[in-house]
Parts: sequence; structure tokens; C-alpha cells
Amino acid sequence: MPLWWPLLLSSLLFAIGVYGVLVRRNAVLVLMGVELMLNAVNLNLVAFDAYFRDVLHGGQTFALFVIVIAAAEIGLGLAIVLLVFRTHGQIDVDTMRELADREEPAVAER
Amino acid sequence: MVDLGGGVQAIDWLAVAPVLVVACAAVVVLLADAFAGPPRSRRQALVPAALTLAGVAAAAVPAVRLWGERRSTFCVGGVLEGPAACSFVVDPVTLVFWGVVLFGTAVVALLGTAAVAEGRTPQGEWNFLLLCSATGAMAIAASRDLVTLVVALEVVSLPAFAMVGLRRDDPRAAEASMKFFLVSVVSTAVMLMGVSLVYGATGSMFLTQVDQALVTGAGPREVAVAGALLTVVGLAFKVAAVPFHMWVPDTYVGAPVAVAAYLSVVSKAAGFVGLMLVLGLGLRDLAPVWAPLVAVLAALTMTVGNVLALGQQHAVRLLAWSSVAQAGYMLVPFAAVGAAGAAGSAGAAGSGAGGLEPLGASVGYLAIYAFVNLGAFAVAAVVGTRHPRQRLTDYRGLVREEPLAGWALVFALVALAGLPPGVVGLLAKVVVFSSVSSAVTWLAVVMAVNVAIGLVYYARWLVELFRPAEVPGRSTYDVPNGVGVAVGMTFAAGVVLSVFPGLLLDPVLAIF
Amino acid sequence: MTVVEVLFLLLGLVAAGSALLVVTTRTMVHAALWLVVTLGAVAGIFLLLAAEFVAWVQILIYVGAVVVLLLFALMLTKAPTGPQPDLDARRALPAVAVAGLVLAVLGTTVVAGFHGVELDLDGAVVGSAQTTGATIFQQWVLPFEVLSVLLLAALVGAIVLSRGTGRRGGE
Repeated sequence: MPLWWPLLLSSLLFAIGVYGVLVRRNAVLVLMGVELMLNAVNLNLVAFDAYFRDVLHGGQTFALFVIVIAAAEIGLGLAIVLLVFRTHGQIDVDTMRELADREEPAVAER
Repeated sequence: MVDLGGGVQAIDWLAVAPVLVVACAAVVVLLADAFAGPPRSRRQALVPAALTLAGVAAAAVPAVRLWGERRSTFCVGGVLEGPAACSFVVDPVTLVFWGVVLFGTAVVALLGTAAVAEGRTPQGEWNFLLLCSATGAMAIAASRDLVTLVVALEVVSLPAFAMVGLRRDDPRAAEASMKFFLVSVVSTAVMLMGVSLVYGATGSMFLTQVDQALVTGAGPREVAVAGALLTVVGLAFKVAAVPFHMWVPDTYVGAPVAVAAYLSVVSKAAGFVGLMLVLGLGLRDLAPVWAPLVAVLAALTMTVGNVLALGQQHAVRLLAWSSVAQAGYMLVPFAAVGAAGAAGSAGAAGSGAGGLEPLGASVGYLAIYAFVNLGAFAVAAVVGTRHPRQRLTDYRGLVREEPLAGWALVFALVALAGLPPGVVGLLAKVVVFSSVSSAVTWLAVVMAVNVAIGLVYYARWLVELFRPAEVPGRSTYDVPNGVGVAVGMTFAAGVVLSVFPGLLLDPVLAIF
Repeated sequence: MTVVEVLFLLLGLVAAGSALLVVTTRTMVHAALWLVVTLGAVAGIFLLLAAEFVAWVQILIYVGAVVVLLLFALMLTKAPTGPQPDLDARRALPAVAVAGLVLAVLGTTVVAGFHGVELDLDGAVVGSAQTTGATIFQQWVLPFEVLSVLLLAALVGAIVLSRGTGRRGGE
């Protein structure tokens, strides 16, 4: 198999993930786009590992670690999404403007 | 199964001790908090912060013991050809960053005690997350392979998301946390893509071996270049370089002041050390490609940060934009690496310092920025106890009402602006300026213009400090002891470094 | 074409197609389910590329845990189950442009860079659990340990953030 096949697939997945991140308004859907990007990274890493026959298996090991990082991110991300939902009633990233720069900042309620 | 030439790696415990102590301190804080139960008194609520300070102090002991040494551990021996491949290296750069991280963590832990009175931030977990994040920042400074570097960078950011949103029933903190989280997660993915391409082009995760492969030209160069650019973009988010800065003002304003201080100093320092290691050690041979890019980023970052800081009425937002601008100054020396390296690139592979000399200026600027910026945030925390809205007009009369806090802020602002009494800030700017003035002249000019713009808004804030207060004659500041100590620490550090600037700058500039 | 190549092309088509559906579908729950298909297909490709352990971890953690968490997030934020017209911001065209640019740059770079390079999978060391375990604990101990701090912090952070508003900081 030519090495560029998996690499091109990875580029495609990455681009699709970028599109998802840019276009989606719901925070959970944005996270799905990020997952696609991370999967593209893993595909690259595994393909290169196989290509180099890396004695240290740097690519595969890193892919495993990326999966763990993604899981940790999602776990914390879920908590943050729920926190925002509790305080704002929705998780639309486009309508979050409370902190936006204004002449007279809103009074921080204490 | 592959024979990897021997069993478990040998570990130099003294070298890893500072990181290990901080990590253990995090666990101690967590356990102590879990077993002690909800605090019954104000004094008991301060225990986690005290434990954090003790942990930082304990980590400083082995770090001081290591001063001046150069140690490598977690090495891969006998399997790979080429230069030694070690995952963990303690050298002067590492130690300077460890100093910045430990000092910053201590100050932030002290600032965090301002939230005790309010009772809306769980102190045990807050300090645990602070120490976890600091562990990552310590680890990244010593990491010399891409896997450890990325993982450590993530350890810096992930607890920080939680710290931003930890204040209960605070919609602004939740929103800040969400924005920070999304931007950071996307930037991590972009950086990982870059790292995977660098791996593909060079066949190794170890920075020394990546460098070797690029010098010998083993892999396809265009892939390495693409990887380098994506990595720079990903890390630019972390250090909040324009145009990847949009999360900064909102996050800093929405987060508690202590967390904003942490993000602007320790988290930013971690991003910088990551950038410095990847570009300086791993991708040094590609400097002609990334140096102009970083130069443009630096110019944009300085200009946008300073110009947008001009109109701000909100103190923390002003500090946020100012910290964006300061990140631009820190990026400036990177632009000179390629230019200086052109002469020495032939011998670059063998010697340890082919053309990296300008980066010393970046390290020095970062260290000095850390001390004075923490000072400014510390005073903002003091004022925040009475004026949570943090308008610049709230700072009126501060010098008269709270002389220590007032003069500390005066000093910090003067140093950030780079004016003479804050000698240390001036010197930092001179060092950075001279590192590029001969190599990349246009950038030096941009920087000079920006320093002038910066004077305007720092001066505007300084004027407010000396104006009479709206309600003159009485001080109603109830400064928590911890915050007072933090103000004193940063003030003292700034003054000492202004009187004896060589203490910090001489060793730092000799690193590379 | 060898069997491996045919399988790769099939799995690649499935992965790319379902990934497109993840980012374009109007029904949020469907997006999560299409993500399962993508992740599963990528896991299959990992198997083809001699990364056995990574493939199983991908199935276990990604499909088993991450997607379930995403579904939970959708459920707990009361996401509507029917099709939604306004899931996307009104910036589809710039997003397509950026994504297309990314694909063009990355794609041409890797194709040009590795043109004519064969990925020889015969006799490659399969990344079995044993091999992977040995490499992680012999060569990659440091990042592994740092990762443990990450997981602990994420766990504690998630718990403390979602502990609710009822209890005040322990007073």
C-alpha cells in the first residue's frame, strides 16, 4: 500500500474536523469535530510507525496517549458543558457574549 | 517481542525530584482536603494554600541543589543511532523556568486565598488543580521528546480549565471556562497534527534525533515544514499570540484574578518553553522557514495587544491585552534565530548552540515579565476585594489609601512599560531589542513603536493611582494576609532585580 | 491490489463518508452515532496498519467511553432529538473554504512528500498488547507517569465542576 493513502485519508478527516469545529454552534458538536481531528492525528502516527518500523513504537505509543488525552478532555469538557448549561440554560457557543468587550462592563454579581 | 536492550530505564531521582515533589504535594493537598472534610473556620480553609506553599518550598530545595548542573535521565540507550536521546534533561533553561513556575505558583496560591472569605471556591480542589498544572509546567521545561512535551503541555492546560470555572454560581466564570476549553482543545489538535507530521518526516520523537534527521536531510522536507508550521500555530494559541489570542481577554475577565494571573504567567511560560524547545532544539534546521513567520506573529501580537489595550477601562482586561502585547516582545528574539544561525548552521549539529543565542533574551524577558506581571495581578486582587468591577477609576487614590499596594502597582506598571525606575523592565526590553536590532531591523522598529504605544496606557493607569479617591480619607481595603504577602513578594523581587539585574540576566543570557 | 489495500479503501471510504455526516447532519444524536462508525472504521485501519493494541483501545475508550460521554452531554443538555435547522452558524462558506484549504495544503504536502513510498506491512512487528506494554514501560515511562497526573486532575476537575450549586464552599 502506498504510504500516502492513509496520510491522505488523515488529511481528509482533519479537514472535515476543522469544518465541524468552525461551523457548529453547539459545544458538544464542536467537540465531535475535535475528535475527528484527533483521529486524523492518530492515523498519521500509526501509519508512520508502521512505515519506520519504529523500534520504540513512538507512533503507536503516542497514539495511545492521544486517545487518553482525548478521553480526559472529553471528561472535563462534559463537566464544563453541563456547568455552562446550568448557568446559561444553553450551550450555543455563538450566543455567549456576556464577557464580550463593552463600554460599561456588567456588574459582577456577588 | 522486540529486544529493547535492557530493562527499565535508569532514573536520576535528584533530577526529577522537583517535579515529583510538586506532584506529590498535589496528592497530599487532595487527600488532606478529603479527610479533613468541609472547613469549619477561616483558618482551616487556609490549610490547602499553606500545604501548597510548603510543597513549592520543598520542590525548590532540590531545584536549588541542581543549580548549575546539567543532567539527563529517562534515556534510551543502545537502541538508536545518532545523538543521545533522553526524555528528561535538567539544564540552565529548565532551572530558570522551574524558578519562574515555582515562584508563580506560590504567588498564585497566595492570591487564591482572597477567595476564602467568599466561600464560593472549594479551596482543597483549587489548590490541587493548581499544583497539578504546575507539575505539567515543571515537566515541560525538562521534557526533550515530543510525547512528553505534548502530554506535559496538556497537564498544564487541563487543570486550568477547571480552575477558571471553579467559582460556584458564577455564569461569567463558566463562560470563560468554556471558551478557554474549546480554543485550547482545538489548538492542541492542530499542534498534534504538526507533531505527527514532524514525526513522519524525521522518524523520531526525540528532539535531538529530530534535529539530526533534519540536518542530514533524511526525510521529505516539505512535510517537516508543514509540521513545523502547524506546531507553531498550535503553540501560538497557548501563548496567545495574535491572531490566536481572542480567548484571552474574555477568559481573564471571567476567571478569578488569581487564575488570570496564573494563565498570564505560568501557563504562558509553559507555552513559551514548549515553543522554544520544539523550534530551538528540534526544528532548528528549519529556522529560515519559521523565523519569518514568528517575526510576523510577534509584530502582530505586539501591535494588536498594545492598540487594543489603549481604550480599556477595565483593569483586568487592560492587563489581559497588555499580557498579549508582552507575549509579542517575548516572541521577538525567535525571529533572530534564523539570521544568527545562518552563519553558524554548519557547526550547528555538533555544538550545542548554533545560532540559538537570541533565545536567551526571550528567557530573560519571560522571567522578568513573570515577576512584574504577577505583581500587577496581585494588586488587582487587592483592589478586587472591594471593587469587583475592576474599573480603572476604582484605582483612584490607591497610593494614598494603601501605600504598599499602590507603590507596588506603580512599580509593576513602570516596569511593564519599561521606564527607568523599573530598571528590570527596561533592561529586559533592551536585551530583547538588541537581540534583533542587527538581524531583523524592521521588527526592532515595530518593537520600538510598540513600547511607545505601551507607555500611553500604562501612564493612563498610573495617573489614576495618584488621583484623589472618590471618597477620600479612609481606607476600606480589607486585604487578606495571603494577598498582602503576595504583593510584598513580587514587589521585593522586582526591586531586588532592579538593583541587581545581573542576578537574573547574567546567567540567563549565558545559557545558549 | 492486495486484500489489505482493498480493505483499506473500503474502510477509508466508510470513515470519510461517516465523518462528513458527523459534521453535516441536522440531528445531534445522529452525529454521535455517525462518529461511532468513523471511529470504528479508523480502528479497522489501525488493525491493518499493525497497531493491534491501539485499535482495541480505540474501540474501548473512544467508542465505549468518549461517544457515550458525548451522548450523555447531549442528553443532559436537553438536546432535541429531532432534526434542527439552526445547528450551524451562518458561516458555512468560510468554513468550507478553510477546510478545503487545509485539505489542499496537507494533502498535497503528504502526497508530494511520500510519493512512491511503499508502506511494507509484511513482517511488520504487530503492536500487540505485549509489545506495546513493553515499550511503554521500558521507553515511555515518563510521559506515562505525567499522563497519570493529567487523568487524576481531569477526574477531580470534572467532579468538582459538576458537584452542583447546592453546597456552598463548605460553610
